[in-house]
Amino acid sequence: MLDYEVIEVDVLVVGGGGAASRAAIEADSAGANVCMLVKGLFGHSGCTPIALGGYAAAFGNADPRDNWRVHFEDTCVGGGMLNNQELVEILCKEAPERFKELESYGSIFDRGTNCRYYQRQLGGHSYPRTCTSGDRTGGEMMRGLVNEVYRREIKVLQDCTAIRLLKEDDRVVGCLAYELKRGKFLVFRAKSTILASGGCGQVFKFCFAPYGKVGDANRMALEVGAELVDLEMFQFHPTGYIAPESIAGQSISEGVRGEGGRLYNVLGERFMERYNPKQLELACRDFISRCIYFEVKEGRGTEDGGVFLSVTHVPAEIIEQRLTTMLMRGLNYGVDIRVEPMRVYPSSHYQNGGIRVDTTWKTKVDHLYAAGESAGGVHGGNRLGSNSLPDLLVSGKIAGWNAARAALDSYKPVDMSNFRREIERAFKYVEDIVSTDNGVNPISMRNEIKELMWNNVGIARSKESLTHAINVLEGMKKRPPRVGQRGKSYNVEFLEALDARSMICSAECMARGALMREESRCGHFREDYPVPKHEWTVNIVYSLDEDGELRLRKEPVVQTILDPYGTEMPIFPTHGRIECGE
Amino acid sequence: MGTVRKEIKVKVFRYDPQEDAEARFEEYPVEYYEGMRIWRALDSINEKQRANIAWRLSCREYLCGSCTIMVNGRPALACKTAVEDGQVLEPLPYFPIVKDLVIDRDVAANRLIKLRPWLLREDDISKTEVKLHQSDILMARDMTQCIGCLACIAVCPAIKGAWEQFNGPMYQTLIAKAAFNPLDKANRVADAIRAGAFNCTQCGACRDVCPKKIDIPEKAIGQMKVLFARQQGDGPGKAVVESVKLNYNPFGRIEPKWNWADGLGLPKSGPVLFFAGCLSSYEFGGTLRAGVELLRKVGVEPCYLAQDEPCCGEPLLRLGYENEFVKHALDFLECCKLRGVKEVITPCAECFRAFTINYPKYIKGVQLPVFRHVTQVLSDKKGRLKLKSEKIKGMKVTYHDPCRLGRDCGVYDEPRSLLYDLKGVEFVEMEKTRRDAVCCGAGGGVKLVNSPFAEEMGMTRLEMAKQTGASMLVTACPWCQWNFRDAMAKGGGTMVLKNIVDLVNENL
Repeated sequence: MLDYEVIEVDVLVVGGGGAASRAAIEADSAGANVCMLVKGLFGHSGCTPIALGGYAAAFGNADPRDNWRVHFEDTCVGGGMLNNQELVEILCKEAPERFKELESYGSIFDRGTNCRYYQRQLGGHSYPRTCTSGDRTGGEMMRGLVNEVYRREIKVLQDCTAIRLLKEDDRVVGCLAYELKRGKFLVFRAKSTILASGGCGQVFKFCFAPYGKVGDANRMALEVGAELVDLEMFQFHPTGYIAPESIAGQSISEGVRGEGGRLYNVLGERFMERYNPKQLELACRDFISRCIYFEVKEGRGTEDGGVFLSVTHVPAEIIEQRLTTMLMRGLNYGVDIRVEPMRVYPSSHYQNGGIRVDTTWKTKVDHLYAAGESAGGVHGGNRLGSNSLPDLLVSGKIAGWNAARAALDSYKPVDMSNFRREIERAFKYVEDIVSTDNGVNPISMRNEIKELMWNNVGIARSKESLTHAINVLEGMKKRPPRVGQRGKSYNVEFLEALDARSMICSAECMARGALMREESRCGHFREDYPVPKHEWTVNIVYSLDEDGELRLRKEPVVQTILDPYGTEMPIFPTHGRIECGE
Repeated sequence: MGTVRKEIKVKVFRYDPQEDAEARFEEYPVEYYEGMRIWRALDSINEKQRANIAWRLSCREYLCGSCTIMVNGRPALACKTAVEDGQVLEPLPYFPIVKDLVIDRDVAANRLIKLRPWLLREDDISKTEVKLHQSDILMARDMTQCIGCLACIAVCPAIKGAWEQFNGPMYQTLIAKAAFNPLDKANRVADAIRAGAFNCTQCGACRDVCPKKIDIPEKAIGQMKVLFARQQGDGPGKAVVESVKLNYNPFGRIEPKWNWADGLGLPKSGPVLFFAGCLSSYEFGGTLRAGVELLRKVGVEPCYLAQDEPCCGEPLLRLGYENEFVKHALDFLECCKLRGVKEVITPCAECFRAFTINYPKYIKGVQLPVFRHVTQVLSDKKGRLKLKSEKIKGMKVTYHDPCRLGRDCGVYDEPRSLLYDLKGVEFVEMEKTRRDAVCCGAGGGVKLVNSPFAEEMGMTRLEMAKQTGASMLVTACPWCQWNFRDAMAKGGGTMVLKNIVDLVNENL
């Protein structure tokens, strides 16, 4: 067994983004001793600091008719009625309160003409309710959260990857982690653990998800007996650059469409008029992604395989003030969005599902919580734009509070001999990676997984493509990368080998779930089952059985206000229709 | 996919402090396609060569600030910058190296905490939607574009000396954000000044490398100085303001500054004005005389305001006195109008920058004369100069680009064209020139309020000049000249220091 250092803590937060920070802040407020474990750089890594769209909250500033119930309904309809409505209620009720706190941390957000928070219209929302800071809302939010974490002197370990959770009976008691800087292993004895390390977007070749987001939380949760939900429902964001090659895959904020952006095919037709004349470019992301897919598949796309997104009709000052980042990004590659259209195609964006939690954001396993993108249920089959940032703060606060309470209120002491055995077990996982070099290149495998998933489990799926993906992944599971001893500190190959294992796990879940769900709903499109089916208004829950095999089962949707079977949903196209109307 | 496909090579800094005795460079082949970014090159090297280079990457979209490294000696984001054949990739300076291209960012985080970047105010606004006007927050929003990439820190000449004298552009930007945040009630301006805002020469190197193009010298540092001037009755700048107003110079000197022109017979009015500048008038009279002679040789007959020549006003701006600057500039422009001046030629780079950048920025609705630096005029008309042709043995010269002339105004080629034509000397370039030139240390008012620190920075640049093997350092700005002269006197080297005007004059 390798050398390690033990750190005792009340609440361990795995992650460094918005949810992790807010959870840490709340746990600290509750009096717990907290430690944050950030895989990369705190305040720089993950999606929160780069999130562009905005923060949805029913303040009613732009339209006084708005309130949490409308937000709730929009979220559920947008989610294909697969949302856990208990969680959605909490999200919509508490989003405004959590937003106000940010300015007390040092953030500053845009104001509208009435001197109250500016609210922009985004896809799928009935009223404009997206609060912004230019087109860098996530960055501004992160800055405030970083400030508050530092102000409270909460311990933050950067460059630290969590590897495996440690368990005692039915509760999580700690975590094994690797600190890159010194090349040291850390063992946390944590009374409560919160997994808030994002989703698994990096399993796709084209993804907005940053490097490192490989679904670590999904894997670690499954390993200790927690369940996942809705993993097959991955969100494809309609607008990522497709050309020029050097910029391919980079994101174009939904805010561009929010400020009036229009989509055109190669024939110059504003094709959204054909698919959804009422909402046009502000329909839900999954809807538009599918429309673009058909446009290109049926030969109406550009030679790069995309369509055009144009804001040339929007006044330059608006673009310069509200879409600064998009403008500068384009200019860096010679594209001036004020005078020419962007060439776009959907890219993978967000993990709608995640770890299954209850209304305290606790998982099935005691003392294990999940928050943010890592947690599933809030967004159902498809997340609305600007619903993630409020999710981070709302779920983060609740998970943080409850984790702290679980740690501080009558905590049963840890059985030390079991703890030592758990550490040994966790280290076997590590030793499996470093004891030999089996010639499997972890970076090549990572790229293979990405290519495999994009081609087979992407925007368009079929029984053939999914079965193929599952077979390949099964092969990879049998022969994961083993890289031997390649140096101690900042061992990139070791990290890649760890990442590959996380990717395989999430990828397998997604592929199996997609195969099981024989219908099309939201972003999950089956070419062999192209319409939604009544009986599939259920959630797929993932778990590992005693032999460590993945088991999938159906569970009824958790409903409160809306009847998931009775609520009307938008009709998605099953092909590109040439005739107008319908 | 890409069109052009070929193999290129890049050099990567390799060093593991835990295992290696010393650092080295390794060269790696990369399968290149057009527009390929450095991050893809590094990833492909790690994949194909199993190089295990330690590096950072996150968003790949130049939004997160994680992947900053030195590319051919210039800080850049690996995800944004195109890879090129022969590129040299190194970690950022000034931070401990963890391994290869990875530096210890905990140090940077700890510095951030010292600034108290969180909101400071008595009451609790966490449950309030505070009403504000959008125009109230725009200045803070400008500063908040900062992604914390550390590129600015890597090129700041004031940090090279010590972190204690100046905490760095990025940190000043974040203090500025708090200062401009209408919700924050602490005296952030005092924080900024304490952290060394007045030790910043506003050289612009930070703005040049900032991926978000934040105008740190003007909008952060400059604005803090303005706010400070408003706060303070008597700051270090107050004496300077009085001197400029009463005695037409920022040094507090009362003796005449026009004596250098004795015997030259310069008229007091005319279409072309020679603006000597306060510093040159007091310290480098010989250079001024040479300048006038050269102008006459190329057919320009300048006039000179003598007693009526004011300060260009730039020191007022450097110390935060915007209104004073405007008043002063308007007086000067009025005088020009009365004397029939259509064109102003100056040998001073600070004056030149004041005229060409700040006058148009601050003065509206007034017709400005054409402003030119003396090297621009001489370069234009150099056909009329008869220059020596024999080579002087051992005369190797190098040229320092003044920040004001170069990076701020883009005048790089005109001085060089004069140097190229001097067949008598051998001209060699320093490693960091043009927009990458490192500030001499005198700008931003630093020479006036903290001369020892300015000299420290000057010595750093002198070292770079020495490395070229040149025996002479040439510059086109009296402030650079003044500071280098003082730094040399403190033991900064044995090179000969010369203004380009003098050098040209001596080589006729």
